[in-house]
Amino acid sequence: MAFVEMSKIYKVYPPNVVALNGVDLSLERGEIHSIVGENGAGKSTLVRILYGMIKPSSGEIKIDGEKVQISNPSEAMKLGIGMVHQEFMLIPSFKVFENIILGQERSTLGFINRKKAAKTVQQIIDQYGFGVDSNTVVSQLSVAAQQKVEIIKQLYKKAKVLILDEPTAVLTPQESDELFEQITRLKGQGKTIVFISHKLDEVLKISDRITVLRKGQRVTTLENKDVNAIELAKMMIGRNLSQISKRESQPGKEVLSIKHLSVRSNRTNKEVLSNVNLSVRAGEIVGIAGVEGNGQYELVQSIVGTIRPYSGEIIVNDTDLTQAPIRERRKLICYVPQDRKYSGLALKATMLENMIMTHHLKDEFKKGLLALDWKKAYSYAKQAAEQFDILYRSLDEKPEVLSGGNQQKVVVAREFSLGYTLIVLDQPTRGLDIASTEYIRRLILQMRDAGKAILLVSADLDELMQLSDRLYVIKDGKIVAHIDPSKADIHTIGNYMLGVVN
Amino acid sequence: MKIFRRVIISLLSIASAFLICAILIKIQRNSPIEVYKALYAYGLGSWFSLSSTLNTATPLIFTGVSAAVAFASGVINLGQHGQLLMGAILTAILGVYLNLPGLIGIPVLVVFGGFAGALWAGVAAVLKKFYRMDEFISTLMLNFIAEYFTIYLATYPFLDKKAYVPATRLIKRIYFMPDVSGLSLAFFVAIFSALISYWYIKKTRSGYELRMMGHNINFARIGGCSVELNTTLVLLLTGFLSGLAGGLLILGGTQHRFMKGIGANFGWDGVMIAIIANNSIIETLFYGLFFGALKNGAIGMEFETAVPSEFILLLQAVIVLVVVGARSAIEYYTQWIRSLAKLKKVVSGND
Repeated sequence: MAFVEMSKIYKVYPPNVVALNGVDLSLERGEIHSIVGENGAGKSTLVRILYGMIKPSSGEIKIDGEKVQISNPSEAMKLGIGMVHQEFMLIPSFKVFENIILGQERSTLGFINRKKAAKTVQQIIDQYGFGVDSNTVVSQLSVAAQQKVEIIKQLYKKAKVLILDEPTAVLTPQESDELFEQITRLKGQGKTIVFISHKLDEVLKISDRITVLRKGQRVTTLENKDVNAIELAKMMIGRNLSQISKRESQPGKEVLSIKHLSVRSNRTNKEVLSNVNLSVRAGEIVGIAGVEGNGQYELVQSIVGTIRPYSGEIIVNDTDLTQAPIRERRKLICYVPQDRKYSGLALKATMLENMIMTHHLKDEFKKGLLALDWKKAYSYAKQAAEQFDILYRSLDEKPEVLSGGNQQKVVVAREFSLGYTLIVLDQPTRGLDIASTEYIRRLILQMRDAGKAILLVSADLDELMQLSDRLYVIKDGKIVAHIDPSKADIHTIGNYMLGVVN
Repeated sequence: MKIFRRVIISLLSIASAFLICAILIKIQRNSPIEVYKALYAYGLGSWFSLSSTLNTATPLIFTGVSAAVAFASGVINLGQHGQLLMGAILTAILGVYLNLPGLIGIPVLVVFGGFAGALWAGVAAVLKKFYRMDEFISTLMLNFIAEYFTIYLATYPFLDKKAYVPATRLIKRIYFMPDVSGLSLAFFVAIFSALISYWYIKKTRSGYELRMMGHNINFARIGGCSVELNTTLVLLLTGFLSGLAGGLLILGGTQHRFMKGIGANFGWDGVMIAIIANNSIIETLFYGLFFGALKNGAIGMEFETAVPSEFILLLQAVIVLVVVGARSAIEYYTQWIRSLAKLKKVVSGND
């Protein structure tokens, strides 16, 4: 008998989005069970139902053959189900053990025996070999170590089933390998691991069984043998994945030139970018690799103009933009921001209004002294939406009803059809499904071949390797390496990112 | 379709608000039918009632549109009351001392009223631009300063010595706003201003930027909109609209002078109307007229029945709650019902 049995799970999000369509999932004791699928396939919804965060529309869950109702996470925890989210839920100023016992404090007369608590936590850490000091303050830990703390927290709560939602998204290749070792060790101690990822090589490396979801339905659950990444991808997207190939780049004249750029943080006055020099020429893709939070965001923001540099120069098409307002910069730069909901779109405005942003500064959309030429705007938006394959019903519709992939296509369509030579891309495919990712990567290459100068910031090393013609590695706000990706392997770059080599 | 649905929701909510209040009237042993009859007769029933309703609605339309434009742009201007008072006091003073022929004088005085309102809102704009002070709090506080500053002006330097209450002198007769058998031309200025505002916010490039700021300010900023300049612009523009309300209250109202309490509750009613109208200018126009009718009808209701005119405040409040509540509740439940139907379809499709 299976340990956890979810059967005929349905979830319809109001008004009519079918997220799960009769999905079955069974988990055995002591197995690593991966759930793969494109974004929107229902992976997160399924595990969130198991963790009690989302109420299913219908369906039942059995644990050890007994029917259970899980209506909130604390009930899930009582049943031994724990989950580590993509965003960590830790208090940075608290020590490791304080974070771990939070909500589960064992006290006498309202007093916590901190020494004893720290000791208990350290015992668990040592038992599973995590190598973290329970007395360290969380803010001083690396991202990978914080993730360990999250896992330990679940173990402290006596989790028997551990759900990991895309745990490797924030890790370097080396850190991922370490995580896999720990997961395997947990499995050896009888824990059940539910591993969610869209990186198929990782899934194939560690899973015992794999459940494939597509469009809210379970395609299959299979043993991890005699299956390879290509077959798995085919099951996920329902067709063959075509390989992206690219031609040799033909760089032209320099379009973006950054000289001695330094940026200081407003809060701490520390240098977050120091003496950065880089250039992007027409017809090439220049990638920026680095562990997140090493200055990539500040670099992009100083190019776009939301951050004022402390010193240095930013020159686009021979125009010095170092002190220019955003409005002036946007007459020279196409920009896809990393968070489409934060600054890429107005989700409650219409599609048309979203598509015309920045274009409205152009003379061709002016009508008379003040008015905007809405007719022209409409025909441009319609044409762009078709050209970029956006699935939508009407331009009066709000982007909030579109899927993530289509929302991103709206941003990309708008920015690419601006037609300026410099294109700045910050995580252009983050959170997108395979098909949309592939589509957008192709577009980026097309743009390069059309002679655009492209700066690509991405946390996805595969993406950088696949697309970039040149690659800079950034660490602690400094450019630490300048690499030809066709001549380097992913581990070398990972070493630069971590600062293992200099 | 969407517009149709919105109209239906509004009508149903208003009807249920009247129903709820009918019960309250009944509990107090009055006849709801009599009360509503009087409300209708004095609000809309005759040309006299209708024209005074439209006159009452005039300042509401201005302050309502002012609030709607500001809120739709993500600028929380809550200073309509103060801006209206500043417009009124300047127009009232200039109306006494300025020597111009009526035909030129009236528009000049009205525009000066607008400028006074814009300038008062401009104080908040300056505080925002140079000291990063939230306009939400600064416009609110400026209301109090305007209130007492205008009372001071009407009590000391510009006091009409013959008046029994703090009031300025009567403005020159040539500056009285002409009317069409009781309906002041000020009403048409209000309609015209509302339509211009509608055009500006819906059709112009600047209006587009403003609305996008209201939706998502980061989106607008990154997209190249002049966010800072636009914020200043909105404050000045909406201050101007409120100032116009004040100026026209002096020229077109009944007193033709600045008196204590002349601003009544127009500022806050405007904010309320904009909220009910979901910041849509056309809806603001209609709710302005509707609340004008209620206010006017209230007077008649007090005449004819034992229900005091303050009862209208209760009715207003119930309407606000029901309209705003119904809007989100209906949205929520239709979606919920649709999701259930979809679930049924999906489940049966699998079997």
